[in-house]
Amino acid sequence: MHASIEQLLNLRDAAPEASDVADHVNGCQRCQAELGRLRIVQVGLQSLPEIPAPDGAWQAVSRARAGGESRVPMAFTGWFWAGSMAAALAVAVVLFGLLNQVPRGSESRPGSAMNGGTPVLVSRSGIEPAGSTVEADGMAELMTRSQQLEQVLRAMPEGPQVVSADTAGTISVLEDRVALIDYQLTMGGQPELSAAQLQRLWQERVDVMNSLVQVRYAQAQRASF
Amino acid sequence: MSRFSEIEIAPSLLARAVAGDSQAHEGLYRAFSGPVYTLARRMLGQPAQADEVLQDTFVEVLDGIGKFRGEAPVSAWIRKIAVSKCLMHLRSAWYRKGRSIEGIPGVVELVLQDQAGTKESDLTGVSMDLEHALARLHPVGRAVVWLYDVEGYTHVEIAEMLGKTVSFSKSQLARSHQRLQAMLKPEQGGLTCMQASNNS
Repeated sequence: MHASIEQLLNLRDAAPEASDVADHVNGCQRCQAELGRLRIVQVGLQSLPEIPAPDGAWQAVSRARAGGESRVPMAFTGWFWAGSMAAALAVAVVLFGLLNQVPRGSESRPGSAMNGGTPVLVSRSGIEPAGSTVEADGMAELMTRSQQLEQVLRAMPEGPQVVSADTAGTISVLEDRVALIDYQLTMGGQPELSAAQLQRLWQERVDVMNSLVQVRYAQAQRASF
Repeated sequence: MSRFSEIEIAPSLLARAVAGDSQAHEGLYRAFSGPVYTLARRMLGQPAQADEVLQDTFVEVLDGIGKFRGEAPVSAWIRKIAVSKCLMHLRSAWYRKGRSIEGIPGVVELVLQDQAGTKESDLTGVSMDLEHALARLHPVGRAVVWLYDVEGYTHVEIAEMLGKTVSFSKSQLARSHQRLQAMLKPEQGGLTCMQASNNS
């Protein structure tokens, strides 16, 4: 009879263990191997890298203490605000540009990802212009990633009915960005968009979707507060 | 070993923090925020909760530092508060609700990816490292593994903190290691002896 994990853990940690168990393990190759693996896992756990505290955390602590607030969401301090402002600015700039040109192919504009439907661009295969030199692997990877993020977002529970203005604003900005990128990608079916531009748009879509998943994830976790 | 015990705080800094010096408060935060956040991330697995533990811990530490008498090292005191905050999260219904999100395919990988800041082309692959395996343990088991194997708490201490028996703590540790072993089998691309020794 081989030693149980609990007995092996006792031996690993020099905790009291029956002598017959210790004798068995000493002479058993299999138990020795298991014991060795337990030691390796322990060393591995102790060697996992430190995770630095997020930016803005100190400011959040200071504000919570100064204002007597029970908790200041860190996600909406520091870099996150800067990112949101930059996102809002980018949307404004691109919208301004779009308003100054005639939209082409607007009849084929995909529905926003956030309005329920997977954007046409995620599943369609004809995104690349004919004769394009797009690196198919990189593009396919980005499209797959985008689709995975869509699935995760769709599977997430609905957000709480009461949401802070900050959170709602951030989500709205990100959703607008996705819709805008989708619009641009639809236009990308036309030959005017280069492969590099397409790839950049897909990369941006993945990045924005990633941010959206992170915000929605944090929101869902706070939902019952 | 626990990173808390490796941190040395100059007595003068501690004295100023006890006296209410805000710069010294920030100094304490800078010294311990990493270990506190790491502890919370490893025990709870979720960035949002780790953020809250970090914040709640330092609010309590800095609000209470004026009464700190130095009976125990300041690192042990801060760690105790952080562990207590993590366990409060584990006990809460809210945490369990948040956990339900982890059942959604891809979420754990996304969170881990965010943590590591690296790209993974295959999110559904069977290849897992220790970090992934740890994240996939049951929360209580994960907490016990971290407290025992890394932070160096005894089963008696863990049982007391969890409000359970010593045998509960032992069986959680054994069960969790069994799961870790299963997830880390070298033939599945898990942690090998070579990787572990490189990490150490």
